[in-house]
Amino acid sequence: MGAPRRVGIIGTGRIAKECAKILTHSNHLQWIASVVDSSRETLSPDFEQFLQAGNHSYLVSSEINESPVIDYFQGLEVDLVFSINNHQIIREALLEGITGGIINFHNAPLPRYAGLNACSWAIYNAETEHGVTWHWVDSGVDSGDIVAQKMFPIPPGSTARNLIMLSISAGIELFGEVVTQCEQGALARLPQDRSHRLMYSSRDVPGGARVNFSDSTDLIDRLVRALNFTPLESPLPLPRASIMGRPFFLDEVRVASRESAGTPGLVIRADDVLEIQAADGSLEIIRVRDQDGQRIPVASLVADYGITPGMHIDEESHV
Amino acid sequence: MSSLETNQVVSLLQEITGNSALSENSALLAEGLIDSFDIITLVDRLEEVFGVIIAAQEIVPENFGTVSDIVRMVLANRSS
Repeated sequence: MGAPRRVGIIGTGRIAKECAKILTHSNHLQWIASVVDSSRETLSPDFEQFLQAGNHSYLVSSEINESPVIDYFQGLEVDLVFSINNHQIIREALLEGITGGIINFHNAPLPRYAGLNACSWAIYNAETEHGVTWHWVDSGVDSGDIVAQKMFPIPPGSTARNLIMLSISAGIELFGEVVTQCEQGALARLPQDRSHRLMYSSRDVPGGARVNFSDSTDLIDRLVRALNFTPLESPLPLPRASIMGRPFFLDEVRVASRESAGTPGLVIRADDVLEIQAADGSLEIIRVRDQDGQRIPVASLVADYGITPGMHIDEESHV
Repeated sequence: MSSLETNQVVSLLQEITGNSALSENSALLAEGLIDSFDIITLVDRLEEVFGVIIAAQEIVPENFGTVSDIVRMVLANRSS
């Protein structure tokens, strides 16, 4: 085994913190530099706090591709960087500045679900399993060779937020394997099979975020779960329905019946639960938001909007 | 500040973090006793136990710095 490799991290959150902890136990990887990605607000300063508490060298940057970051890594002779929950695309100048390359964490089983909102799309597309990938960064988007990948089942009823948390836990676990590969002297480079590539951009929104009760109960349930990031701010539009022209948003539904009690959109029950007929059964709406996106009790929505049994939810056109 | 709510929040935090030494006076974020994952789990449990709705805009470090901060947020939501 040669001299320890000098390693840096760019990232935020629990996953960056936990992966840094793993690196501290490695004899072959000398973690010496970190860049805290401040391009997005975070729930709590997990990574930065960890760096401060341990007196580790770090830089806070909202522009990771700019020269201060490149100069920082080069000044410390970093030769391998892990991009961990970093929200910015790594550009050529940074990539070229790190001689040993950059390895990125992606919360999806590449080559499927490259790009954004992978967990939402996996739920909307009725996947039964999901995965996470550590891959080499190249000039494309999530297209570099794979270092390590791990698949896991998606628990029934998962929301986007649940799946993100599971992916982060799986990513931390898998990072141990990446470190082991480094210690054994050879990081894998498994090319992605481009014929299986599936990618979503910021323009793509599951179901157009429109709830249409002429769809099946299953599809509506998946749409609502795919767009449910509660209690966090959603990066996607909220799933919208409307009644008498007044919009509201759905946070959680459950299948109430597999039988038809009327035409799709019919309000069957309206009290502390709103039960609506869909194509193949009915759904209970158990968590909602008003037209301003504020979470309110279902009973308040029913009272404020004057919803009574026998009314119909407006038909939404798919976007 | 209600001691009942305070005790309930301390119990929830101990349950979530597995840290039985965590107390009413702990500096939760400053001492790294909870992180973002714990906050998300805690919000779920607070909503369940206290029957409140906590808006995304309220999930900011200032509301999770200490047990008192959390109880204050819960009580404000309960009265609204």
